[in-house]
Amino acid sequence: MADPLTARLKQLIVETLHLEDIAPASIPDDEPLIGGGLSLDSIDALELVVRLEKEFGIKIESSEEARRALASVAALAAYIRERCDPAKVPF
Amino acid sequence: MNPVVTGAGFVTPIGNDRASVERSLREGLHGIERVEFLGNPDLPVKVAGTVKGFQVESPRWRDWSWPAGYEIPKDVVRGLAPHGVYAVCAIEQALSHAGLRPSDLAGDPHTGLYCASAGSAMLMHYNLAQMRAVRGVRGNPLGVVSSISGTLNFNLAALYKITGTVCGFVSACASSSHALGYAVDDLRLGRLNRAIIVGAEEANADSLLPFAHMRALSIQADPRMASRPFDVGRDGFVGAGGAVALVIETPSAAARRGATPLAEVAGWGQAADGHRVAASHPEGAGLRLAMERALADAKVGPSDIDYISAHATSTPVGDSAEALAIAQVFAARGLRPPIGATKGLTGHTLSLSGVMQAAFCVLSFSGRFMPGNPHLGVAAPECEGLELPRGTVGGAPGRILSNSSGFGGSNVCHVFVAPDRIAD
Repeated sequence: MADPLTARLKQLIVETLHLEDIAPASIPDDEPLIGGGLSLDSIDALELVVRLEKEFGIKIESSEEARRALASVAALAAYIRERCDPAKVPF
Repeated sequence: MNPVVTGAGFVTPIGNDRASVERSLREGLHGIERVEFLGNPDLPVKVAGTVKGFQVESPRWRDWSWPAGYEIPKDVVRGLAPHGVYAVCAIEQALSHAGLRPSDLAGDPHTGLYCASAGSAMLMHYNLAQMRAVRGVRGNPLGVVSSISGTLNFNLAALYKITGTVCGFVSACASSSHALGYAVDDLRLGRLNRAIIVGAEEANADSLLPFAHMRALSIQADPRMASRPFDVGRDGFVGAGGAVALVIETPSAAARRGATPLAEVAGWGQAADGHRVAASHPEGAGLRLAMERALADAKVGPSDIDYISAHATSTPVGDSAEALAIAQVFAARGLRPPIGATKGLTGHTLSLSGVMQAAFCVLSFSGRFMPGNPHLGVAAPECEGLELPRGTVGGAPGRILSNSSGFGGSNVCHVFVAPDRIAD
C-alpha cells in the first residue's frame, strides 16, 4: 500500500505547481523531482519549498538543504518525517 | 525618410483585436466597468478601464490565463508581470498584421525594441512582502525582472531575441510617445530599419489607487459618466490597463518585403512645462511648444491637420491646459480641426496611452473615420473655439496630430499621415 505521506506530497506538488496534465499517482517515488521527468527547475523548487514550509511547519534553511529534501518524493517524505511536528503528519 | 507603420496589435479595454477596437471607436462603445478594489466597497473609486479575456489578477503566475491562440511558454510567463502578458499578445498581433514572424526579428541587428510601462506595483509589493516575511533570506529569483519598470524590455528582448536596440521609457503618461519618438529618430538616422514599440499597464489596486490619493481619479460610479474629457463636470481620470504594439519600418525596408504602409510617422516634437511635479502648466505651455515642434518636424502647418487625437484624461487641470494649448495653436489661427479624446472610451492607460492613440490613428486612416467624444455633455468654458464632436466624424483624415503629456511636465506630440497622402 502506498505511503499516505508520499501520496499527500504528490498531490501537493501537482497542486502547487498547477501540473494539470500530470496525475499525482504517476509521479515516481524515487526519481529526482528537479531536473527529472516533471521538467521542474530551481525556480519551481523555491515555490515548492515555500509551500512545504507552510504546510508542514518546517524550515528548509538553505538551497543545499532544499536540494537534498527534493531529491525525490521518498527523500522528501523522509525529510519531513524527521523534522516536523508529528501532529502535522498523522499518517 | 520617415518611418511607416506596418502593424498594430491591441489588448485594450475596448477590444483585444483590430476589428473590435475599430468598432468600439467608431460606435462610441466604452470599456469602463464597475470594480471593487481590495474588497472594499467604501472606496470612492468605483470604475476602471478593464481588460477582458485575461485572468491575471493574482500575483501568482500559475493562476493566470489568457485568450486562446497565444502560446507563452512557462519559462517566459513566470518572468512577466500581468501587463507583460498583455504585451506579448499585442506584439504577436502586430507582427502578424505586419506580415512578420517572430523569427524575422530574432538576431536581426537592424530591429529595435522600445518599451513603456510603469512596472508592476502589485508584483513588487507581493515579492517584497514575501522577502520580508522570511527576514530577507529568500525571494523570488524572477522578482526583479517581473516587476521593475524595465520588465517589458527585459522579457520581450529575451523572448524575441532582439539585437538592435532595447530600451525603456519612464516619462509617466508620455512614456510610450517617447518610445515611438526615439524609435522614429533611430530609423531616420539609419541606425535601424525596423522597430517594435510597445506600451503596457495593469489596471489593479496597486497600480491605480495611489492616483486616487493624489485626487487624480474620478469618483463617479457610473461607467458612462466617469471619463468625460473636456466636460465641465469632469472630476478625474479613470485608470485603465492593456497593451498596444506598433511595428514601424523604414519605407525601403517595408517596400523590400512588400509590406503595406498603414501610416507615416511624419514628425514628432517634445517640450516640457518646467512647472510642477504632477500638474500641467495652466495654459499648456509645454504642450503648445511640443505641438508646434511636431508640426515643424513633419514640415506641415496647423492648417494641414485634419484631426487631433487629444491626450485629455478627464482631469480638471490637465484637460484645461490641453484645451488652451490647442486653442493657441489652432483656434487662434481660425482653425477648428475636430478633436477626439478616446480616453472617454478606454479610460487612461497611463504610460501606454501615447502608443495606443497612435494605433487608433492607424485605424482612423484604414477605417476612414475620426472618433468623437461620446461622453461629452457640456464642454468646459476653456474649450471655447474648439471643435469637439460628440459622435464619430466620417471621412478619412489625411494628417492627425496626437498629443500626450505626463508627470513632470513631459509633453510629446506626433504627426501621422494617411498612407495615400504620404509625401504629397
